[in-house]
Amino acid sequence: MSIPPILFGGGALVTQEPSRPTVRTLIRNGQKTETAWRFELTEDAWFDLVECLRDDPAVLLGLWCDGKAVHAFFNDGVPGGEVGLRPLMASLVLDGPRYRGFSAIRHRAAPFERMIRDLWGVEAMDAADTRPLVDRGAWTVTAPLSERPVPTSGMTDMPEFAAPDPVVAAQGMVFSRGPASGGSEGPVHFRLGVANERVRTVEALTGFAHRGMEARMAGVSLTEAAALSGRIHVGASVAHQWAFSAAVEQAMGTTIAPMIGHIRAMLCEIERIHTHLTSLARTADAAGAEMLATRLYKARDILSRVCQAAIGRRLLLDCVVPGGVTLAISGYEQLPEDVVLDGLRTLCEEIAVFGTGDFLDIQALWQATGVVTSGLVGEGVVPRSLADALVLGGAIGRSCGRGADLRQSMEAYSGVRIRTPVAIEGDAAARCRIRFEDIAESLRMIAAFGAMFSPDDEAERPSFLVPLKIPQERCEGYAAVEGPDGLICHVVILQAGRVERTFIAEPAGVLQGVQETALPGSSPSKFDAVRCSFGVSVAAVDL
Amino acid sequence: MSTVLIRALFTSLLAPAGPALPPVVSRSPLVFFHVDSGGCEACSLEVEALRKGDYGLAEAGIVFTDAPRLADMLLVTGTCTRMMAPVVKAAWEAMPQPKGLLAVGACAIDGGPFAENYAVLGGLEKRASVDCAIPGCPPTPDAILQGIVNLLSPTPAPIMEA
Repeated sequence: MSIPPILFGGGALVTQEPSRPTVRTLIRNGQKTETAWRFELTEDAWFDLVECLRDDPAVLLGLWCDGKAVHAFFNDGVPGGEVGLRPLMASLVLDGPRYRGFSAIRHRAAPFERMIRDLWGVEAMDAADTRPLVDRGAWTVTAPLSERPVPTSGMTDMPEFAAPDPVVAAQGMVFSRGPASGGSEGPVHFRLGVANERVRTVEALTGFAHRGMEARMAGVSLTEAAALSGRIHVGASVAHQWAFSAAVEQAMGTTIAPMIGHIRAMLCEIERIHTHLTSLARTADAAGAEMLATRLYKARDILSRVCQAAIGRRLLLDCVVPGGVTLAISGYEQLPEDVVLDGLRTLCEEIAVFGTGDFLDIQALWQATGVVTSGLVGEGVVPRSLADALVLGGAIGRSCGRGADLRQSMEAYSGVRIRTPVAIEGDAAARCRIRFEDIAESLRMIAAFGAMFSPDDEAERPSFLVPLKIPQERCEGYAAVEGPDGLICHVVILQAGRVERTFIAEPAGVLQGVQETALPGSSPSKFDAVRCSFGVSVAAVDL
Repeated sequence: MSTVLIRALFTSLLAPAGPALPPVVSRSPLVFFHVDSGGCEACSLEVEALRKGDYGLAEAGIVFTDAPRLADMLLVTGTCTRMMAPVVKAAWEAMPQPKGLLAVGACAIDGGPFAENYAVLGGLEKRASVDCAIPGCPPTPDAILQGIVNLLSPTPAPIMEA
């Protein structure tokens, strides 16, 4: 006897049309490579892939070039939530210096396409943004990473800007600021068109801080590459070190002891607090709230001092390496694990004290300071639609109602409760509020991690630094980490015991573009404060 | 009440808690202009911490300015990229005589992790006469302050605890 299927509602079963390919199937239909998650596509399949992206939820995490091929790194859906990463990489072997670009459909790809054009001389067809990103004619060669770089004669002319807005041209003024503003931010040039007491156009000239990270992280040893990964940008130093190390470990198939993961996560949370405090302090300083700025700077300095006293480093450079963590508790190297755990627990406790005392005072002071609360309401609004289109994360995405948080699916954060603060206003005031709430969450997590670093946990005590045996054959690995400003992703290719190539995806490149679209409309006097609320680091944009 | 008294009163009430440093320069205050010429921004952060934190800069006779025309010392952090080289040069040329050059951090001294390549010129050491080089990647604010104080004092100041 067979029971007919029980149907609820109208009885119409929604079936997936078999004829519509998804990004996942399109990529998986490509030619298999030795890496399970990378497929080589033909020119036609690549074209189909681009078209398919129009109505597919796949997120483009990064787009890179290695001279021979262009690689697009996708994730099924928005990374975060319970699922975590489900990555796929599509590679297109180049036949000539051009490929079909993604930025017309996925604007997120724009900084990657601009970077590829400047470094490799490979053009994206149909690109939404064709301005140079880092090459402004000052380098010794154009397309420095390509097989045949063309020598240039050095900087010859002034940088080119778009023609001024007609209103600005008629009755406004053009202001320039940077790259040497006397402040502590990295070198970047802004050109503002101001008319009727409003900033109408914002154009950013980047490239001053370009050091060639991609070239430097190719063909080096693991140790050198790990040290460089921490110096991509100090505001996300641990996140980059962690992403790089995890990518190397994934490539080798090494699993890391849970305790090491927790230590890395704890360091990453300290860094998140530090970066948010910097951003808040600069915002307060630029808005003219001097007392508040002083309190925030002092809190940041105390955090650095506590870190130095506990783990020997004020800023957490060179803490995470493939295979584990390197911590110099009280200035010694090679300490027994118990002492390290003890030191870390003390560090967590000391930081947690900040959360119950000084931090609450500063937060109350912030809320009572008009120039940074009501003064920033409605300034530099990032529309929800833009945030969705660019898949923004971090404090900026969360202030637009996007709550995706990769930490929820990361193994290293298992055992701590994660609550991602979200606001919907999308303005500078909301961003700052989210940063405060993020700090509070991080402080709570650090306290929870501190409880995990208990000496009575005698089950197993693995070493904090496992020496890795680097395979001679070629292998590829990926990893993503929730950095202070969003998802940070590294793809590492190892060959003959060295790092052959490292692909870095930084949220800053996308955020720089968001900043340019969100800043017009703010009043010139608040421009700096609104810009600081984004907290975009130039070093991370320029790489 | 005279202004001197009011100032003394305020100083005693509001003086920062950091270690007081002896005034080190005859031409007080000494004005710095900070340029970040490319790098990972760690040295910049530490200079910022020194400027804004409790390090007793005012007592040491050190102030920072936003205009190179008012500065006595050029403080450079980060490796010198090819795009920033003309900017650093312009800042240097805008400064009045006599002037000094301060390189903070490994990058600014010899390029550190960012040695010369297509986009980077490297450190200042080979290209200019550096009056004071403060090593470290990044140096601590205490080390930066100590370097400045040692450069300017006729006799080196006692070494502070980090």
